[in-house]
Parts: sequence; structure tokens; C-alpha cells
Amino acid sequence: MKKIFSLLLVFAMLFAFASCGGKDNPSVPEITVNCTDSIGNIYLKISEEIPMEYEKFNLTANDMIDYYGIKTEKISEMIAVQDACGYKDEIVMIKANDSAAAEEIADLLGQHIAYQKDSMKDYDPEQYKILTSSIVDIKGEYVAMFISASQDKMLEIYDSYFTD
Amino acid sequence: MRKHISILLSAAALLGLLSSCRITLGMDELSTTAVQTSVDSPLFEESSSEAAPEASTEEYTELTSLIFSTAAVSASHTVGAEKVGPSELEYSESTEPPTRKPGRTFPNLIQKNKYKTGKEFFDDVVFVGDSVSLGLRNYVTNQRNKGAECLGKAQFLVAGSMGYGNSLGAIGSANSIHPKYQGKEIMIEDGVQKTGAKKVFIMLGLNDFCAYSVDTGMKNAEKLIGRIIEKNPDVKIYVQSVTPVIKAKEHGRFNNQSIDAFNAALKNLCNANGWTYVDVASSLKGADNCFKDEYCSDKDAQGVHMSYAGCKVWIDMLTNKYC
Repeated sequence: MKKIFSLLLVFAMLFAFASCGGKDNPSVPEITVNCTDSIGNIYLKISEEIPMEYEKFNLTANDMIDYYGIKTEKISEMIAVQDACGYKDEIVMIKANDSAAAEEIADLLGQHIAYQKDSMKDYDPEQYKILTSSIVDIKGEYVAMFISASQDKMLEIYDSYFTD
Repeated sequence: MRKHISILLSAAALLGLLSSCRITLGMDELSTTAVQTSVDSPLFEESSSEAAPEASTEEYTELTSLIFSTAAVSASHTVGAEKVGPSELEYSESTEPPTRKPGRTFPNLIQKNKYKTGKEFFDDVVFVGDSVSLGLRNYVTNQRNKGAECLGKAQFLVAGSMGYGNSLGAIGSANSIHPKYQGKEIMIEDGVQKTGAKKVFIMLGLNDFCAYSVDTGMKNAEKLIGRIIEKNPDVKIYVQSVTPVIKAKEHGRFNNQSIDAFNAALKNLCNANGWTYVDVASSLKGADNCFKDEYCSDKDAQGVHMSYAGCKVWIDMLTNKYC
């Protein structure tokens, strides 16, 4: 009787562990978020409220591979703005093709911030401080990165366009 | 006894189910949170559903050219497709001589074609540099995105604060700085190989001339260029001078005299090794031997970075010299 009991207990435990291991390689679940406007209009609102300190220019989707390693085919809609001098303000807002692409893009942008942080550490302490609190935001298929002295305010405006 | 066993079994099974549910829920939560690069930053602020602002027609028209649509990718980046009018014939990329018509001659054009190689010169160039060259890359990208021809198909391996010295260390090693190629950090010599470039225009030294003695700076430069050549034996090396600093931002050793001394040593190094030295600095200096304020984008900060006007002077100098 004890043997049967032990076997059953082991079986129950295996069942429990199997549940834990089942998510080792999870496919990214498709998360639908509701964005109330286009990325272009969100950027307009941000640039109206927070003018960039430096001369700026826009990147196209074709530039994203060179600047961030992001493949064009992962992008459905985007705005990417950089300051002309090359290492100060950066705004990237992307609607990816799906949540998996968004995760991949967010990872690359996260690596970009880390890389910029390393470059600026002993070079521009003010910029380094900004980079230390820069984040990449991901909501379903939407990814955003703000590197700016006003990045918190930018993120706040961006967030206001998303509903649950 | 049997009753006890079934109670125990039920409890174990229930525990198993509960733990699996909790883990699944945890994964879902994880996938909706932000990728965080700072532990103390708020990620998901409370969202609100405020009405979106209406864009003005003018702003919207401007934006539609910037917002990406998948179908537009291949069409949006045409380089060198400008129409060339008669007055611009002398800058045409065509190697064919212009058709002579009775009564019309093109003496200037013929003369230029005889000596210049054309804008295709820059098609197999890679620019290697620090934050000053980052500014050049951004200027070039901006011009190309507007449909203008700018330095052919030249590519860039640039990184803020990179120098001859700190680019020598292995990737990930302390205080080393490397450029990125397609989003991945890479050693300069490997990056040059990836780009397939045949001409390497290097502009480093602004982050070296204060950190090292001129001798050590030259040893580092020689080492880096040696590695580039070893990995890419067919490339031709062009060493660009270190660009100047505005007068208001000179301090201690960080001055134009030190930059001049570093550049003089770079020139000697080039002469000794058969590399081409390119004097960019002179085009950007005023009568006081300092960086002209109008070419500087960060007069209130470091006083060394290039404004668009400065980038234009730099590019004009290069194209006049090589095209």
C-alpha cells in the first residue's frame, strides 16, 4: 500500500514540475493593446509639448538596421528622431508586426541604451545620467524608447494614448 | 486508511494544479512589462484614454513622409537619383563625355573629368570615427533621406568617445569603446571587413590627444591601422586630422595647439607608412586657429561637435578633393 502511495505521490509531483517546465521556451503570446491614435500623431503631440533641445532629423525604416540593428520587415509603423550631433536626444516609437517582433525590437533598443551608457560614462556625465534612467517601453506590438532630459514627460504623454 | 490516502492524493494533485496556474499567470504578466535598463525607473504608468490631438494639415503632410509604411521601404531610399541640369553637368556621375553641339563647348567640364574620379569614389568608403563622425553620419543620413546625393554609398563605423587607444581592447573589456555594425558591437577591423569597404577614412584622436602622450597616441594609431590592414589587406587608408575646438572651450591641454601637435604627428605617421593624410581641420578653423563658432553644434558644452554647416564644409572639402 505504501508503495502505491509513494508512486502516486511521485506522479503528482512530476505533474506539478511538468507545469513549471512547460514555459521554458514560451512563444510570445499575442497581446492586444488599444492605442487611440497613430504613432505619427503621438509624436506630434510630444514634439509640441517638449521641443528637442538640439537640431533633429528623422530616420527612415531603412536606417533602422544601421542605427539599431532593427530589420525593416519587423516594423509596421514607426517614427525615429535623432539629434543632429549624434549622441544626445533620441526618440523611437515603433508599431511592430506582432508581439514577438516587438519583444525583439525592445531587446535591441535596450542593448542600444546600454551601449550608449558605456560610451558616455567617462565622456559626458550629464548624458550618462540621462541614459541611466532611460527605458524601453513595450505594450503588445508597440515599442518606444525615449532618451532625453524630458524622457519621463515623453513617456507620460505616450502612455496617455494607450487604454487597457 | 484508503480515505486518508485519497485525501492526500487529492491535496497533492491540487497543489500541482495550483502551482502550474500561478506560473502561467506569472509568464503573462512578464510579457506585458517593459524591458528595463534601470532598476529604479517606473515602467507602466497608469494609462488614460485622453482624446488624441488633431494634427494640422501642414504637420500631417510633413509627417506622412516620415511615418513608415511597409510598402514604401524599397522606394524610400533612392540615392543619386537627382536630375542633373545643364548647369550641374560638371558634377554628373556619368563618365561619358557630354555631346558637343556646334557652337557649344564645355572646357571646364572636360578639365574636371580629366582629373576627378566622380562621386562613386565614396561608394566603397567606410568612415571610422568618434562622436564628431557620428554627427557626419547623421548629416549624411538626413541628406540621403531627403533624396540628395551625399558621399555616394559611404558607410559608417562610429561611436561616441571612441579613440585610437580605447578601441584596441577586446569587446567587453574595461574602458573599451567599439562601433556597432547593424546593432552589434564590433572590433573596427572586423567592421571594415563586414562593410566590404576598399577605402577607410579614419578620424580618431579627439579622445586620445589629452589622454595619452603624442608618442603613445601614434603607437595606438599605428596598431589600430595595422590591424585594419592585416584583416583587410586590400584597403587604402586615409587618416583624417583631428578637428579643432572653439576658443571658448579650450582648457588645459585641451587646446588647438595640442591638437595641431597631434595632427602633425599623424601626418608624419602617414608619410612613414604610405597612408594618405587628409587635413580636415584647416577648413574648419578661423584666423585665430580655432574651430569657427558657426560650424560648432555644442558651443555651450564641449565645443567640438559639428553643426550641419560644419558637416557641409567637411563634405565639400572631401568631394572637392576626391570627386
